[in-house]
Amino acid sequence: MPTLAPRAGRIRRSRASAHRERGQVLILFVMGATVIFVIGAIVVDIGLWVSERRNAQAAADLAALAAATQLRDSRAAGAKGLDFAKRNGYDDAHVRVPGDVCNAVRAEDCVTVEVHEDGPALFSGIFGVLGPEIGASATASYTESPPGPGWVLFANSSQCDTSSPPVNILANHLEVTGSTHSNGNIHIEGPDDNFFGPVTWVCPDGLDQAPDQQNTGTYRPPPYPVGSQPSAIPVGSWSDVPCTANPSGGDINADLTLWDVPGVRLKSNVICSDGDLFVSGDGISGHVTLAANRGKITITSTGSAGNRLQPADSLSGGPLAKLLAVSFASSVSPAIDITASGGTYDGYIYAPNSRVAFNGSADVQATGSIVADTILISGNNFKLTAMAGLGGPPMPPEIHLED
Amino acid sequence: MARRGSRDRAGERGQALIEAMFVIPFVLALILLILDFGIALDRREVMIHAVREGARAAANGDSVSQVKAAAVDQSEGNLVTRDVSVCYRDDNLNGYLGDVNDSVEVTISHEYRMLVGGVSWIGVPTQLDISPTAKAPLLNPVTGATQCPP
Repeated sequence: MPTLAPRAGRIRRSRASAHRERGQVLILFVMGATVIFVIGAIVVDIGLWVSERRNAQAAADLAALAAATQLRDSRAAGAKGLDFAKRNGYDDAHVRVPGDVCNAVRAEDCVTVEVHEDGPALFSGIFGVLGPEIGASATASYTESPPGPGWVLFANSSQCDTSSPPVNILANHLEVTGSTHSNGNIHIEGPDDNFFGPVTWVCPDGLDQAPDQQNTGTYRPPPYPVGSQPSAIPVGSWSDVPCTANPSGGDINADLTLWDVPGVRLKSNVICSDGDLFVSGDGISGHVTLAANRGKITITSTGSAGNRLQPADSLSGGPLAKLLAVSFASSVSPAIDITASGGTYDGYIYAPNSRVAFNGSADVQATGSIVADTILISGNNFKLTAMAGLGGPPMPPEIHLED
Repeated sequence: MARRGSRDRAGERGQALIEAMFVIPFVLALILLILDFGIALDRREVMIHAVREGARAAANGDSVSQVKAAAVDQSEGNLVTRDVSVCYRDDNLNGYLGDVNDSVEVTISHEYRMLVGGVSWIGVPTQLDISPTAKAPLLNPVTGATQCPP
């Protein structure tokens, strides 16, 4: 027995120690899980703060861009910045548009938007740790763009009636390189009319495209509405025109004094008439300007060779120097009627009080501007290209985020 | 007796292993859950970045297809173009949609499928909806603008 006692004691101790060891893994698990949970919670909360910081930066960037669009009116700029911050999830209490932060040369050229909020405390709040204040700011600058390319087509009428648009383009496969503008609305029928330059108008909903025909046409840049534009050619009146020839009856073909080679080459002249003026033929060339006070000017191609006409050499100074045809008539429409098949027509075609009708075909190229109260373009396969000298429409300002 | 004592200790052998067998799955599940939420947070970050890049492209007057491409490009392969929608608002009320001073909205529709999904009885959703929207001012005109729903 004495020998057994220690053994029994050892067994009891062994059992007791086994009892004491029970639940060890559970304790280790609880401790381990707590550590993992705390680390996870810290990671999640910090992740949320980083995420919120990026959200705030995105909202600040977009709000700054929006504010910069209104930089010409500082109050409007602030309001627009707040509006876009709100649209992206930050209300007025969390947004500031300070007026004295920009380091630009001129304060009105840039704007800064600051967004701030308290970071969320999802798990850290359990341990009494509050979320930090999260802030982001963005600065956007505004640069005025130069006017667009020179006018090709400019209609001064402010007519908003879709049944009689000031610029009415019925031509097919027309290529316009330069700016097209109507102080009213524009109708483009196509098909396949391509515009390499701004197309602008004034009337609400003022661009009317024939849906089935013009869907293959291209616009670079996309069309956009603008405010009313001043007349592209500031030629005042009939008395400004320096006439050098006054044919009787208006028939240029019949007046042989106007020709170097009758029916082929015209002398360089500013041919004026109080009434109508008309010339027709095929392969006619010359430096000649046609001017009518109250009558209609008609230029007609009769063959496929095409006419090659340029402004008179005697014209000089300002827009006058590039006039090819001008009519101040108001009671006839169109005041200038050109039917061109092939050939080239350089210079400005100007009818401030009435319509210019231009019907082109066979790859005719008109380089200059058609400026009139209303414009009708018809025909097919021809090109209208701007001539340097007449300014274009306002272009969207350049707005970008500062680094 | 000594043999019985050592047999008792021998009988307790593996007890920790069995306890661990019960505990380890819970530990792993906890780690997986944290990992899963981490991935979901990262996905949310990626989507916010993608929608923001799309909005910036849209603000510059890029076409709808270019805007979608910009967002998809920044999504680290998690988006296709049909997940991105672009619409415009006539903010300046001039009757023409898509000119300067209108606004554009880019929205991404994305669902993150949870790795530990299917255990909704403990409150873990099977998927998380991550659909951020960014609203930007239009700095250049666009063609073919689609009106946003009111």
